[in-house]
Amino acid sequence: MKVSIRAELVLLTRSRAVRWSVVTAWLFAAVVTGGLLSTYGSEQQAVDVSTAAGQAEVLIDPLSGLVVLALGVVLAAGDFRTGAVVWTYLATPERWRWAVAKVVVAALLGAVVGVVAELVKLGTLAALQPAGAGPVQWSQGVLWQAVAGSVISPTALAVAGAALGLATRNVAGAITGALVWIVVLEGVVRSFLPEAVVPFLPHTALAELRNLTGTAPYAQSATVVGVTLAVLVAGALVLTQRRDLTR
Amino acid sequence: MSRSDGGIRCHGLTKTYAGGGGVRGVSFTAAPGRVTGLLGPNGSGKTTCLKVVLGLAGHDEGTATIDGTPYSQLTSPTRAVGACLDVAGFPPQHTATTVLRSLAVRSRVPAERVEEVLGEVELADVGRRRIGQFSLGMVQRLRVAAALLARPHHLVLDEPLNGLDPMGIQWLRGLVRRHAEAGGSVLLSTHLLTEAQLTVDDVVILHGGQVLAQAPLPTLVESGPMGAASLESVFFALVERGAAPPGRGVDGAPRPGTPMTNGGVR
Repeated sequence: MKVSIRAELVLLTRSRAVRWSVVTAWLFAAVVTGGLLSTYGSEQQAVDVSTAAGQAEVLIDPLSGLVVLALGVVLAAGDFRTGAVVWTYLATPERWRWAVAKVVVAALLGAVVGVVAELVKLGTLAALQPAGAGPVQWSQGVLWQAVAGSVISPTALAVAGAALGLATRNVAGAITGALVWIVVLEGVVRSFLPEAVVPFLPHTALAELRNLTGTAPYAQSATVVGVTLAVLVAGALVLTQRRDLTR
Repeated sequence: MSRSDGGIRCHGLTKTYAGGGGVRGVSFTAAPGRVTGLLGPNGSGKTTCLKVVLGLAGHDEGTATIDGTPYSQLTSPTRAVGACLDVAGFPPQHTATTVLRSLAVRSRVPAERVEEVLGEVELADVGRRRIGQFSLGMVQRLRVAAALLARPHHLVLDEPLNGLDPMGIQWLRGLVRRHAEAGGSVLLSTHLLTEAQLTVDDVVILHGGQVLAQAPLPTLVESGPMGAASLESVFFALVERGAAPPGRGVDGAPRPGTPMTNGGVR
């Protein structure tokens, strides 16, 4: 397994597209947070960091989420598009090892994007808060829950992207499918379900983890996200191991 | 491994696709020390056979083994067989060196081997250029480099001459010959019959998913129609006949030591 992960990292760390995508997400986090703070009036005596962090997340998370979701898909399905998967299958007949390595590397990528975007955001909040504002209350539990959610969210989306990429073997199809679910279908499904069931929808649970709505227990949302990812990844592994190479 | 298990063997191989096609009861051997040409028109089942041999596709019946072991059970598959397949590609945004380094990690090959193999395929000067900027011939050489990376005992080459210039073709011919002379099996699938005649020792002709004929090249050419002196004329005679029962010569009569169906070619 370590060998497969190392081989994937060799490619990932040398990909300019990945580097630029990640840097763009981080720059966006800095610009959004700085821009948000600049709208605060100078008469404001204190900045509630958790509120500002929450407001910044509303803008930052969709972009970083989209970036890592797409990177996860490309990371997995891109090998099928280029035919590079043939070399992988020849070197690793136990294909599930390669598929797990893809998921692990996608998770690492998502986590790095999430952690750094969060550090950029908090650093910008701390550095640019208006003069006269009170000290940042780093001990606030809500703040750290939001921080954890903002790291878990891109990690989960990257893993979901990799699993979808492995299952569909089609970059455009996987990204479109994921976006249609997130933007359209889950909203439609939500309107037909009883209120008590809605927090169990996967993207709703992910939003709960980022503490944007705050209506469901954190552990419950984490469990829903974890189970959804487990199902997606398990399905992708089974399909990867069983299917013929169709190129 | 018994002596008879050596090389690349298919026995009674059957693979059907949902949409039709595939292969039925295909048996042949690419023996050690020999270059075996797998010939046939489009859709005859050549690539299907290679995919099954290399574990890239499953099969319904029969066996496909490398030195007596199915590909999926080989402990070091890329050291046992180096494969250069037409369907195998590379990410265009990466350099040849990066891609081969990643493959070297997967195959547990020392990183130094990457530069070495790039030299062997005469791509050392462009190792750090992005693959997207490569010509067709350079990509083909890179495929061969990937196949040779782990110093495999056997070689499986699918249309290896695609995109190669005359120098490249000569180079590949020499490489294949040297590999066989070193004791490895070479299974080579190609459409280029004139080239096959210059390169292969044994011939397996597939048509409609079945083996039409298999024999050492000189024997097969001798069994051809009147005055036939080329693999091409034998090939067309066989393929036009199409349904000629396996194990028969071009004229339909059994010939001692000529086309066989049991996987033996010698």
